[in-house]
Amino acid sequence: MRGSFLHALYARTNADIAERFGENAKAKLEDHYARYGANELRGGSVADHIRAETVFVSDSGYILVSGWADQRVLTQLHFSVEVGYLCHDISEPNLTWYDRPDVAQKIGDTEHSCGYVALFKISELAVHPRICIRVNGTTIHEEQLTRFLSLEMFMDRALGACAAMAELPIGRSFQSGKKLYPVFAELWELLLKKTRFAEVFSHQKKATVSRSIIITVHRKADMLLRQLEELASYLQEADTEIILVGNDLENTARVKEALAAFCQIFPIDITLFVCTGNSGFSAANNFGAERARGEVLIFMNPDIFPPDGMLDQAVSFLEGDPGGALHGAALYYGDGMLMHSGMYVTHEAVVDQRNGATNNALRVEHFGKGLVHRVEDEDHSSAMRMTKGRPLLVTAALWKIRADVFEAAGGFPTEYIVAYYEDADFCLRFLESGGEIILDDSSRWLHLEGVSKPKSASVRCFMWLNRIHFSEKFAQSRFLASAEDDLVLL
Amino acid sequence: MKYLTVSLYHPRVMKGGAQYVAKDLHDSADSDPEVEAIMLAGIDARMFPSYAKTGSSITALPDSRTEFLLPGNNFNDFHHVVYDPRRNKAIARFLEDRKPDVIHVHHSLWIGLEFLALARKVLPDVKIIYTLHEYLPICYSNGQLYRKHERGVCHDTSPDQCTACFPHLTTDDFMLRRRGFQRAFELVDHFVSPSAYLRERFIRWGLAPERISVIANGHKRSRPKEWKPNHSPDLNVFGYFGQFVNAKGIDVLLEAASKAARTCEIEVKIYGGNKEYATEDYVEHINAIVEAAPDTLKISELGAYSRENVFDLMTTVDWVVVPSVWPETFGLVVSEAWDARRPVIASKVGGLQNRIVDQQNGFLFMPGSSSQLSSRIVSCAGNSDLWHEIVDGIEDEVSASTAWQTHRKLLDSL
Repeated sequence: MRGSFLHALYARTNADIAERFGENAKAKLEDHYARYGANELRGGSVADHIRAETVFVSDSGYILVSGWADQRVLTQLHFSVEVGYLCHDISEPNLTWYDRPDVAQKIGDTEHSCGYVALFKISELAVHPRICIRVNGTTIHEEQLTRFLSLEMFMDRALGACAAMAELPIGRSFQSGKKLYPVFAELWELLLKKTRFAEVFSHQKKATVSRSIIITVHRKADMLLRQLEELASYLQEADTEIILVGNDLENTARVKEALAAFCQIFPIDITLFVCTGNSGFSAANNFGAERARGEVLIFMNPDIFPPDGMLDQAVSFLEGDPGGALHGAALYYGDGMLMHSGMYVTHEAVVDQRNGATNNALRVEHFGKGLVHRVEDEDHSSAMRMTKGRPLLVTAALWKIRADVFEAAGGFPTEYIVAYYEDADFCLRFLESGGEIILDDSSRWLHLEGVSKPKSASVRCFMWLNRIHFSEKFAQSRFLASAEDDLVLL
Repeated sequence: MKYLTVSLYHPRVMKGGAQYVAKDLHDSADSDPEVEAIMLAGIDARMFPSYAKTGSSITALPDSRTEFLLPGNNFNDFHHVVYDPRRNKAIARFLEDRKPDVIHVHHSLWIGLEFLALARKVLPDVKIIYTLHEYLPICYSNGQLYRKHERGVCHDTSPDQCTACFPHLTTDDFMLRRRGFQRAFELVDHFVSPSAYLRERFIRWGLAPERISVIANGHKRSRPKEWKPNHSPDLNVFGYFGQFVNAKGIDVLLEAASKAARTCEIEVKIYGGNKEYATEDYVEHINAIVEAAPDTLKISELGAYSRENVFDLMTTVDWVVVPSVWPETFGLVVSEAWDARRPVIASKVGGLQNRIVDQQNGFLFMPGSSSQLSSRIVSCAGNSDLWHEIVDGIEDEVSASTAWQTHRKLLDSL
């Protein structure tokens, strides 16, 4: 039963309305309440039902506001932002809701999500240190000295601010991710457009090379010289070059100096390019492929090593002609146990139990991970047993592919934020276009991916966003393993 | 024969056991009429800037025509590499111009493992021998095989065990570190170990037994001719000579002396340098023992000693205690004590147990056992017969010139 409108109380507690319409204009007062007053929470306080906990502002106009709100009281959130003496009405705040159990317990709402993230852009922002953010006319954040972030820093912090969503079960966060991904993808694209590569060191003595090993390093080049030392005896003799691409490389001058010193002792063909920022795995490797002189490209992570005393078989992999196929190799942990003998993609229905929403989430799994099989074992059949007759993907930690085949396949997709899922994307597209993917199980390498190093909040977040994008993009792929098969594949 | 010694530091720049051994061998080689000896010592240029000249990677040691310094500014102390192009150029020319027949490497600290590859590249036929002065290739924890968290000797050096001492590093990090050392060591013709214990540990680590020989560190004697050993009236002065750092076991000695002092009067003299490298909690632990010591125990902390005064200082104590809880590779202090005819009471650990025969030329006790050491202190204090018996059983360590001759035989056999 709907209650009767208390027009006298409305007029008595809202002098501006009473002055405008008169304290006895029942119909006009009720109409005003329905149109505006309810949303403005007249007679109450908006500030008691919403908080802004984190605000980041970029110098290019992007703003992230995150906090919590009671959706039952504030049924709509209208954002406006004052920057200096200009007010911007935000028509599309890209509001994403997510679960905040800590807040839900306090405000008593376990049905609606109460965590929110608003991520929007003010066009033609005129930078001014005063920022005021209002929701439904009420100030939720005001700062007289705002520090504006560059786009890269803004994106990193914004991802970190959204990491709480990535921690939720995928069923409960899938919808949030679907909403957030396009905004972050837009930011990522802007960043990629800004990045530039520069050649900072080159030691190229061979007139021609047959193959190019492309190594992308992010920030630290800790393992690089160890990796080059391991391959030096091969690299000095073979018609092979190294194309090294540094994303956000730390201490470039020292890396360059060390490479020069390395080449004095081990004269290999190597060129180092550095990126002005972090272009991510795909763009950096695509750039490396563009600069490569070899007909065959070998994409190699900086933590890939030939097993101790097993360089010959590693060299065989590098030297072999991949033909029209994409080749991967068997990868092992540092302790010698099998890590990867190919990958498959499976899918599972994930549910948000509170509203019944279902989504199809894809998951990339590695064949061989957890098998009791060691790098020095002669019999390799158990590692490959489950891969027979199935669509096989291979991790880009180590790939071999002809340059023209790579180019025809469109290279690595750059739509994935920073890294993760680009190799699975490439593989599925490659398979769909009729390409062949081969795991060369005679070639064995160690992949020292630092199992115990925790990932930062921003990394966890973009991994989650990339997974959701990947899931949406390939939900209908015919190369997915069924949920039933997933129960036995290893 | 042209013989190049490559060492970590030079005794004139910074004193230390490994550089003394290297310098003694260089001097012995230099006095060999069949040998042309030169020495190149890697140093940390940031610590000793007065030896570094801008743009010059190799500098001369003043007042010496055969000794040179190799100051460096970048050293990766985990992987033991330098990779400096200016320095590489200088080293390559140094080797090309000097053309040594033998390169005797004494360390990778501030030398860089890539030195071995560079030397092999410039002089493919040069003989490279490498003396292992501690366990740094095996152990990142100051090369001491000492588990800080357990305060004991590390017997299992698998990469996963190393993460217990260095939780911020991974098993893979330590696996790569080991591979780097082992790969570089393939370029070495032969290794020298000062003790059987160290040799055994490196064989367990991966060196082939036939590639590593034991040659004791030679010792330059300070004892005057016709000098006769004597002791204090009460024969109760126990001395510690060494670095004042955690793994040396000064706490074990003081705890043992405190217990022994309940039975008899004891004096402990500590000659220990580099106290700044001891951890804060270790120093606090020592201070607490000293404060709680009974009145019958006199403890004197007398600072660092040098090779030049160690003989005289040794004669101010009756017994020398070597209470190390890390497996000392050789124990230079034992040679010094023997030179001064002081009985040594040492932990049964590392190279010490290879040199000291219990109750013949000294005494052994379980590492870290203050109760065993305490009993030994009680049995030694005032026991003139025992003191003379042990002193009579002491023989000098081999001389530097004898050690050089042994090295020459080894070189001839390669």
